[in-house]
Amino acid sequence: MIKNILSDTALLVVDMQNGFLSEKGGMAKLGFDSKLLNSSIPGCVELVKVARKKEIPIIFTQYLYEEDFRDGGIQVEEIFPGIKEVELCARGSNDAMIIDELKPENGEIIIEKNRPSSFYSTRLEAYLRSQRINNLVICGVTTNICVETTARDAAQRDFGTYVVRDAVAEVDDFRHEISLKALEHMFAKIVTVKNVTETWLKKNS
Amino acid sequence: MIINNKNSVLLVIDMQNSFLHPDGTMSKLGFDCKKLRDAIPGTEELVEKARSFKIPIIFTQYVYHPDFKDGGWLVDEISPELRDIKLCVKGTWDADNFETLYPMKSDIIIEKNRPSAFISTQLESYLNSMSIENIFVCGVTANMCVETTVRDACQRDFRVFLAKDAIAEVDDARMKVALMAMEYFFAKVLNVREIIDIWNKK
Repeated sequence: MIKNILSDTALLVVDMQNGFLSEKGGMAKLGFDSKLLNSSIPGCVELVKVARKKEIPIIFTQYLYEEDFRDGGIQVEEIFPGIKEVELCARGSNDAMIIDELKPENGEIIIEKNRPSSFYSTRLEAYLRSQRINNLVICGVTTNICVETTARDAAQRDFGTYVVRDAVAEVDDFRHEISLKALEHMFAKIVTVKNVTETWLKKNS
Repeated sequence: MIINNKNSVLLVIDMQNSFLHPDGTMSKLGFDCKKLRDAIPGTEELVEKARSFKIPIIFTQYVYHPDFKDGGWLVDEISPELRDIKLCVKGTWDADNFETLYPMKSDIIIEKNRPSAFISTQLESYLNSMSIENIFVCGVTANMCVETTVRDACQRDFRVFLAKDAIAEVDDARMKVALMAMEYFFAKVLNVREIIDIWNKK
Protein backbone atom coordinates (compact mmCIF):
# COMPACT_ATOMS: atom_id res chain seq x y z
CA MET A 1 0.00 0.00 0.00
CA ILE A 2 2.80 2.45 0.72
CA LYS A 3 5.42 1.27 -1.75
CA ASN A 4 5.14 4.72 -3.38
CA ILE A 5 7.01 6.34 -0.52
CA LEU A 6 10.24 4.50 -1.37
CA SER A 7 11.24 7.12 -3.94
CA ASP A 8 10.56 10.79 -4.76
CA THR A 9 9.21 11.25 -1.24
CA ALA A 10 9.75 13.84 1.45
CA LEU A 11 8.89 13.86 5.15
CA LEU A 12 6.87 16.96 6.06
CA VAL A 13 7.01 17.83 9.77
CA VAL A 14 4.22 20.33 10.47
CA ASP A 15 4.50 23.01 13.16
CA MET A 16 6.40 21.07 15.84
CA GLN A 17 7.09 24.29 17.74
CA ASN A 18 7.23 25.39 21.36
CA GLY A 19 4.07 27.44 20.80
CA PHE A 20 2.08 24.23 20.42
CA LEU A 21 4.06 21.71 22.44
CA SER A 22 5.56 23.51 25.44
CA GLU A 23 3.53 23.78 28.62
CA LYS A 24 4.54 27.46 28.66
CA GLY A 25 3.69 27.93 24.96
CA GLY A 26 1.02 30.08 23.36
CA MET A 27 -1.47 27.23 22.99
CA ALA A 28 -1.21 26.37 26.70
CA LYS A 29 -1.80 30.04 27.52
CA LEU A 30 -4.98 29.81 25.47
CA GLY A 31 -6.13 27.01 27.77
CA PHE A 32 -5.37 24.05 25.50
CA ASP A 33 -3.75 20.92 26.87
CA SER A 34 -0.29 20.87 25.29
CA LYS A 35 0.29 17.41 26.82
CA LEU A 36 -2.20 15.94 24.35
CA LEU A 37 -0.16 17.41 21.50
CA ASN A 38 3.03 15.97 22.99
CA SER A 39 1.87 12.48 22.03
CA SER A 40 3.04 13.29 18.49
CA ILE A 41 6.68 13.87 19.52
CA PRO A 42 8.03 10.27 19.73
CA GLY A 43 6.57 9.38 16.33
CA CYS A 44 7.95 12.52 14.70
CA VAL A 45 11.38 11.90 16.27
CA GLU A 46 11.43 8.34 14.94
CA LEU A 47 10.36 9.39 11.43
CA VAL A 48 13.01 12.13 11.32
CA LYS A 49 15.68 9.70 12.56
CA VAL A 50 14.91 7.09 9.88
CA ALA A 51 14.47 9.72 7.14
CA ARG A 52 17.94 11.10 7.96
CA LYS A 53 19.46 7.63 7.94
CA LYS A 54 17.92 6.80 4.56
CA GLU A 55 18.58 10.27 3.09
CA ILE A 56 14.92 11.07 2.57
CA PRO A 57 14.45 14.85 2.33
CA ILE A 58 12.95 16.43 5.43
CA ILE A 59 10.90 19.62 5.35
CA PHE A 60 9.88 21.40 8.55
CA THR A 61 7.08 23.94 8.56
CA GLN A 62 7.09 26.76 11.04
CA TYR A 63 3.94 28.73 11.89
CA LEU A 64 5.16 32.33 12.22
CA TYR A 65 3.41 35.66 12.58
CA GLU A 66 5.07 39.06 12.40
CA GLU A 67 5.61 40.56 15.87
CA ASP A 68 2.67 42.94 15.46
CA PHE A 69 0.49 40.23 13.83
CA ARG A 70 -0.31 42.46 10.87
CA ASP A 71 -0.13 39.36 8.69
CA GLY A 72 -2.76 37.52 10.75
CA GLY A 73 -5.69 38.47 8.55
CA ILE A 74 -9.27 37.42 9.22
CA GLN A 75 -8.20 34.40 11.28
CA VAL A 76 -6.37 36.48 13.87
CA GLU A 77 -8.36 39.72 13.63
CA GLU A 78 -11.84 38.27 13.69
CA ILE A 79 -11.98 34.55 14.34
CA PHE A 80 -9.33 33.91 16.99
CA PRO A 81 -7.98 37.20 18.45
CA GLY A 82 -6.59 35.19 21.40
CA ILE A 83 -3.67 34.28 19.14
CA LYS A 84 -2.52 37.87 19.15
CA GLU A 85 -3.12 38.30 22.88
CA VAL A 86 -0.86 35.35 23.78
CA GLU A 87 1.53 36.23 20.94
CA LEU A 88 1.42 32.72 19.51
CA CYS A 89 4.46 31.93 17.38
CA ALA A 90 5.60 35.54 16.95
CA ARG A 91 8.69 35.86 14.78
CA GLY A 92 11.89 35.73 16.81
CA SER A 93 10.25 34.36 19.96
CA ASN A 94 10.99 31.10 21.75
CA ASP A 95 7.35 30.22 21.08
CA ALA A 96 8.03 30.07 17.35
CA MET A 97 11.11 27.82 17.64
CA ILE A 98 10.95 24.20 16.55
CA ILE A 99 11.26 21.97 19.63
CA ASP A 100 14.74 20.83 20.66
CA GLU A 101 13.97 17.16 19.97
CA LEU A 102 13.40 17.94 16.29
CA LYS A 103 16.00 20.62 15.57
CA PRO A 104 16.45 20.89 11.81
CA GLU A 105 19.95 20.00 10.62
CA ASN A 106 21.99 21.59 7.87
CA GLY A 107 20.41 21.12 4.47
CA GLU A 108 16.92 20.48 5.80
CA ILE A 109 14.30 22.86 4.54
CA ILE A 110 12.25 25.13 6.78
CA ILE A 111 9.05 26.55 5.28
CA GLU A 112 7.64 29.56 7.12
CA LYS A 113 3.89 29.96 6.93
CA ASN A 114 1.25 32.21 8.48
CA ARG A 115 -1.81 30.19 7.50
CA PRO A 116 -2.84 26.62 8.41
CA SER A 117 -1.98 25.22 4.98
CA SER A 118 1.72 24.69 4.34
CA PHE A 119 0.97 25.32 0.65
CA TYR A 120 -0.83 28.66 0.76
CA SER A 121 1.49 31.65 0.15
CA THR A 122 4.62 29.61 0.81
CA ARG A 123 7.46 28.27 -1.32
CA LEU A 124 6.65 24.64 -0.49
CA GLU A 125 5.07 23.68 -3.82
CA ALA A 126 7.84 25.23 -5.90
CA TYR A 127 10.38 23.36 -3.80
CA LEU A 128 8.59 20.03 -4.18
CA ARG A 129 8.08 20.42 -7.94
CA SER A 130 11.67 21.47 -8.57
CA GLN A 131 12.99 18.52 -6.57
CA ARG A 132 10.54 16.18 -8.37
CA ILE A 133 9.10 15.12 -5.05
CA ASN A 134 5.73 13.44 -5.67
CA ASN A 135 4.86 11.95 -2.30
CA LEU A 136 4.58 13.48 1.15
CA VAL A 137 4.62 11.68 4.47
CA ILE A 138 3.02 14.12 6.89
CA CYS A 139 3.42 14.28 10.67
CA GLY A 140 3.08 17.05 13.27
CA VAL A 141 0.36 19.18 14.83
CA THR A 142 -2.48 19.83 15.02
CA THR A 143 -4.33 17.01 13.25
CA ASN A 144 -7.60 18.84 12.54
CA ILE A 145 -6.16 22.24 11.67
CA CYS A 146 -2.69 22.62 10.13
CA VAL A 147 -2.07 18.94 9.35
CA GLU A 148 -5.51 18.45 7.81
CA THR A 149 -5.48 21.71 5.83
CA THR A 150 -2.02 20.83 4.50
CA ALA A 151 -3.01 17.24 3.65
CA ARG A 152 -6.15 18.40 1.83
CA ASP A 153 -4.00 20.80 -0.19
CA ALA A 154 -1.30 18.22 -0.95
CA ALA A 155 -3.83 15.65 -2.17
CA GLN A 156 -5.67 18.14 -4.36
CA ARG A 157 -2.32 19.07 -5.95
CA ASP A 158 -1.85 15.37 -6.70
CA PHE A 159 0.96 14.62 -4.32
CA GLY A 160 0.73 11.13 -2.89
CA THR A 161 -0.43 12.06 0.59
CA TYR A 162 0.30 9.88 3.63
CA VAL A 163 -0.69 11.02 7.12
CA VAL A 164 0.97 9.22 10.02
CA ARG A 165 -1.72 8.45 12.60
CA ASP A 166 0.62 8.05 15.60
CA ALA A 167 2.80 11.04 14.74
CA VAL A 168 0.02 13.63 14.60
CA ALA A 169 -2.01 14.98 17.52
CA GLU A 170 -4.92 17.24 18.39
CA VAL A 171 -6.15 18.92 21.60
CA ASP A 172 -9.45 17.07 21.30
CA ASP A 173 -9.52 13.27 20.82
CA PHE A 174 -12.86 13.29 18.99
CA ARG A 175 -11.67 15.90 16.49
CA HIS A 176 -8.44 13.91 16.05
CA GLU A 177 -10.24 10.68 15.15
CA ILE A 178 -12.84 12.23 12.86
CA SER A 179 -10.21 14.37 11.17
CA LEU A 180 -8.28 11.22 10.22
CA LYS A 181 -11.55 9.69 9.01
CA ALA A 182 -12.24 12.72 6.81
CA LEU A 183 -8.72 12.62 5.38
CA GLU A 184 -8.99 8.89 4.71
CA HIS A 185 -12.36 9.41 3.02
CA MET A 186 -11.04 11.54 0.20
CA PHE A 187 -7.51 12.86 0.62
CA ALA A 188 -4.90 10.66 2.22
CA LYS A 189 -3.71 7.20 3.12
CA ILE A 190 -3.53 6.90 6.88
CA VAL A 191 -0.43 5.01 7.96
CA THR A 192 1.57 4.34 11.13
CA VAL A 193 5.13 5.22 12.10
CA LYS A 194 5.95 1.52 11.83
CA ASN A 195 4.46 1.21 8.29
CA VAL A 196 6.61 4.13 7.15
CA THR A 197 9.90 3.30 8.89
CA GLU A 198 9.77 -0.40 7.91
CA THR A 199 9.24 0.64 4.29
CA TRP A 200 12.04 3.19 4.40
CA LEU A 201 14.49 0.86 6.12
CA LYS A 202 14.11 -1.58 3.23
CA LYS A 203 15.22 1.14 0.86
CA ASN A 204 18.65 0.87 -0.75
CA SER A 205 20.32 4.22 -0.33
CA MET B 1 -17.03 45.04 9.16
CA ILE B 2 -18.86 46.29 6.10
CA ILE B 3 -21.33 43.95 4.47
CA ASN B 4 -23.29 45.09 1.46
CA ASN B 5 -24.55 43.62 -1.78
CA LYS B 6 -21.49 44.96 -3.61
CA ASN B 7 -18.86 43.18 -1.52
CA SER B 8 -20.72 39.95 -0.77
CA VAL B 9 -21.53 36.77 -2.67
CA LEU B 10 -23.56 33.67 -2.01
CA LEU B 11 -21.49 30.59 -2.83
CA VAL B 12 -23.63 27.51 -3.49
CA ILE B 13 -21.45 24.41 -3.46
CA ASP B 14 -22.12 21.31 -5.58
CA MET B 15 -25.94 21.22 -5.35
CA GLN B 16 -25.99 18.69 -8.18
CA ASN B 17 -28.16 15.69 -9.05
CA SER B 18 -25.26 13.39 -8.28
CA PHE B 19 -25.36 14.28 -4.61
CA LEU B 20 -29.02 15.16 -4.09
CA HIS B 21 -31.20 13.09 -6.41
CA PRO B 22 -32.12 9.48 -5.51
CA ASP B 23 -31.05 8.49 -9.03
CA GLY B 24 -27.70 10.31 -8.68
CA THR B 25 -24.39 8.48 -8.61
CA MET B 26 -23.62 9.09 -4.92
CA SER B 27 -26.56 6.82 -4.00
CA LYS B 28 -24.91 4.03 -5.99
CA LEU B 29 -22.04 4.20 -3.52
CA GLY B 30 -24.48 3.54 -0.71
CA PHE B 31 -24.49 7.13 0.52
CA ASP B 32 -27.79 8.37 1.87
CA CYS B 33 -28.75 11.26 -0.38
CA LYS B 34 -31.75 11.89 1.90
CA LYS B 35 -29.30 13.29 4.44
CA LEU B 36 -27.77 15.61 1.86
CA ARG B 37 -31.21 16.83 0.84
CA ASP B 38 -31.38 18.51 4.26
CA ALA B 39 -29.34 21.28 2.65
CA ILE B 40 -31.95 21.99 -0.03
CA PRO B 41 -34.61 24.13 1.75
CA GLY B 42 -32.04 26.44 3.37
CA THR B 43 -30.11 26.80 0.14
CA GLU B 44 -33.31 27.54 -1.81
CA GLU B 45 -34.19 30.25 0.68
CA LEU B 46 -30.71 31.82 0.54
CA VAL B 47 -30.74 31.79 -3.27
CA GLU B 48 -34.18 33.40 -3.40
CA LYS B 49 -33.25 36.08 -0.88
CA ALA B 50 -29.85 36.75 -2.48
CA ARG B 51 -31.67 37.38 -5.76
CA SER B 52 -34.07 39.82 -4.11
CA PHE B 53 -31.17 41.64 -2.39
CA LYS B 54 -29.16 41.61 -5.65
CA ILE B 55 -26.29 39.71 -4.02
CA PRO B 56 -24.33 37.88 -6.73
CA ILE B 57 -24.65 34.10 -6.68
CA ILE B 58 -21.88 31.69 -7.59
CA PHE B 59 -22.72 28.02 -8.13
CA THR B 60 -19.90 25.50 -8.09
CA GLN B 61 -20.20 22.26 -10.02
CA TYR B 62 -18.07 19.21 -9.39
CA VAL B 63 -17.27 17.98 -12.93
CA TYR B 64 -14.92 15.27 -14.20
CA HIS B 65 -13.79 14.57 -17.73
CA PRO B 66 -15.60 11.44 -19.12
CA ASP B 67 -12.46 9.31 -18.84
CA PHE B 68 -11.46 10.80 -15.46
CA LYS B 69 -7.98 11.69 -16.64
CA ASP B 70 -8.34 14.81 -14.49
CA GLY B 71 -9.12 12.78 -11.35
CA GLY B 72 -5.56 12.62 -10.05
CA TRP B 73 -4.55 11.19 -6.68
CA LEU B 74 -8.08 11.49 -5.27
CA VAL B 75 -9.67 9.30 -7.93
CA ASP B 76 -6.72 7.07 -8.90
CA GLU B 77 -5.57 6.20 -5.41
CA ILE B 78 -8.09 7.20 -2.76
CA SER B 79 -11.57 6.77 -4.29
CA PRO B 80 -11.38 4.78 -7.56
CA GLU B 81 -15.09 4.05 -7.12
CA LEU B 82 -15.82 7.62 -8.25
CA ARG B 83 -14.66 6.53 -11.69
CA ASP B 84 -16.59 3.26 -11.52
CA ILE B 85 -19.88 5.04 -10.84
CA LYS B 86 -18.99 7.88 -13.26
CA LEU B 87 -19.55 10.63 -10.69
CA CYS B 88 -20.42 14.04 -12.14
CA VAL B 89 -19.21 13.49 -15.67
CA LYS B 90 -19.19 16.69 -17.69
CA GLY B 91 -22.33 17.16 -19.76
CA THR B 92 -24.39 14.48 -18.00
CA TRP B 93 -27.60 14.85 -16.02
CA ASP B 94 -25.64 13.68 -12.94
CA ALA B 95 -23.39 16.75 -13.07
CA ASP B 96 -26.27 19.14 -13.63
CA ASN B 97 -27.64 21.33 -10.86
CA PHE B 98 -30.60 20.02 -8.88
CA GLU B 99 -33.82 21.21 -10.51
CA THR B 100 -34.87 23.69 -7.82
CA LEU B 101 -31.40 25.21 -7.69
CA TYR B 102 -30.78 25.87 -11.33
CA PRO B 103 -28.48 28.83 -12.06
CA MET B 104 -29.94 31.79 -13.93
CA LYS B 105 -28.15 33.49 -16.77
CA SER B 106 -26.85 36.25 -14.50
CA ASP B 107 -25.30 33.78 -12.02
CA ILE B 108 -21.72 32.59 -12.16
CA ILE B 109 -20.92 28.90 -12.56
CA ILE B 110 -17.52 27.62 -11.46
CA GLU B 111 -16.57 24.15 -12.63
CA LYS B 112 -14.07 22.31 -10.45
CA ASN B 113 -12.51 18.86 -10.30
CA ARG B 114 -11.17 19.04 -6.77
CA PRO B 115 -13.04 19.49 -3.46
CA SER B 116 -11.88 23.09 -3.05
CA ALA B 117 -13.61 25.60 -5.31
CA PHE B 118 -10.33 27.58 -5.29
CA ILE B 119 -7.94 24.99 -6.71
CA SER B 120 -7.38 25.37 -10.46
CA THR B 121 -10.56 27.40 -10.96
CA GLN B 122 -11.47 30.99 -11.82
CA LEU B 123 -13.21 31.56 -8.50
CA GLU B 124 -10.52 33.74 -6.91
CA SER B 125 -10.18 36.01 -9.94
CA TYR B 126 -13.95 36.50 -10.01
CA LEU B 127 -14.01 37.34 -6.30
CA ASN B 128 -11.11 39.76 -6.57
CA SER B 129 -12.34 41.52 -9.68
CA MET B 130 -15.74 41.95 -8.05
CA SER B 131 -14.03 43.30 -4.87
CA ILE B 132 -15.73 40.67 -2.76
CA GLU B 133 -14.90 40.58 0.96
CA ASN B 134 -17.72 38.45 2.33
CA ILE B 135 -18.66 34.95 1.20
CA PHE B 136 -21.87 33.33 2.40
CA VAL B 137 -21.53 29.57 1.97
CA CYS B 138 -24.07 26.76 1.63
CA GLY B 139 -24.20 23.40 -0.15
CA VAL B 140 -22.76 19.89 0.08
CA THR B 141 -20.99 18.03 1.43
CA ALA B 142 -20.17 19.76 4.69
CA ASN B 143 -16.98 17.88 5.54
CA MET B 144 -15.61 17.57 2.00
CA CYS B 145 -16.20 20.23 -0.64
CA VAL B 146 -17.79 22.80 1.68
CA GLU B 147 -15.10 22.55 4.36
CA THR B 148 -12.18 22.42 1.92
CA THR B 149 -13.53 25.52 0.17
CA VAL B 150 -14.17 27.34 3.45
CA ARG B 151 -10.63 26.60 4.70
CA ASP B 152 -9.25 28.01 1.45
CA ALA B 153 -11.49 31.09 1.44
CA CYS B 154 -10.62 32.10 4.99
CA GLN B 155 -6.88 31.62 4.48
CA ARG B 156 -7.18 34.02 1.54
CA ASP B 157 -8.77 36.53 3.93
CA PHE B 158 -12.28 36.39 2.65
CA ARG B 159 -14.74 36.68 5.54
CA VAL B 160 -16.73 33.44 5.51
CA PHE B 161 -20.27 33.09 6.84
CA LEU B 162 -21.35 29.46 6.89
CA ALA B 163 -25.07 28.63 6.84
CA LYS B 164 -25.14 25.64 9.17
CA ASP B 165 -28.71 24.67 8.25
CA ALA B 166 -28.04 24.91 4.53
CA ILE B 167 -25.17 22.41 4.46
CA ALA B 168 -25.30 18.63 4.94
CA GLU B 169 -23.12 15.55 5.24
CA VAL B 170 -23.78 11.82 4.94
CA ASP B 171 -22.06 11.06 8.26
CA ASP B 172 -23.18 12.71 11.51
CA ALA B 173 -19.79 12.61 13.27
CA ARG B 174 -18.06 14.16 10.29
CA MET B 175 -20.80 16.82 10.11
CA LYS B 176 -20.24 17.67 13.76
CA VAL B 177 -16.46 17.93 13.50
CA ALA B 178 -16.69 19.88 10.24
CA LEU B 179 -18.77 22.52 12.03
CA MET B 180 -16.40 22.53 15.02
CA ALA B 181 -13.29 22.91 12.88
CA MET B 182 -14.75 25.63 10.68
CA GLU B 183 -16.08 27.60 13.65
CA TYR B 184 -12.80 27.17 15.50
CA PHE B 185 -10.58 28.72 12.86
CA PHE B 186 -12.20 29.38 9.50
CA ALA B 187 -15.71 30.81 9.53
CA LYS B 188 -18.50 32.52 11.34
CA VAL B 189 -21.18 29.85 11.68
CA LEU B 190 -24.76 31.13 11.47
CA ASN B 191 -28.17 29.82 10.44
CA VAL B 192 -30.16 30.88 7.39
CA ARG B 193 -32.37 33.17 9.46
CA GLU B 194 -29.36 35.05 10.89
CA ILE B 195 -27.82 35.45 7.45
CA ILE B 196 -31.02 36.87 6.01
CA ASP B 197 -31.18 39.26 8.99
CA ILE B 198 -27.68 40.48 8.11
CA TRP B 199 -28.74 41.01 4.50
CA ASN B 200 -31.88 42.82 5.67
CA LYS B 201 -29.90 45.25 7.84
CA LYS B 202 -27.16 46.09 5.39
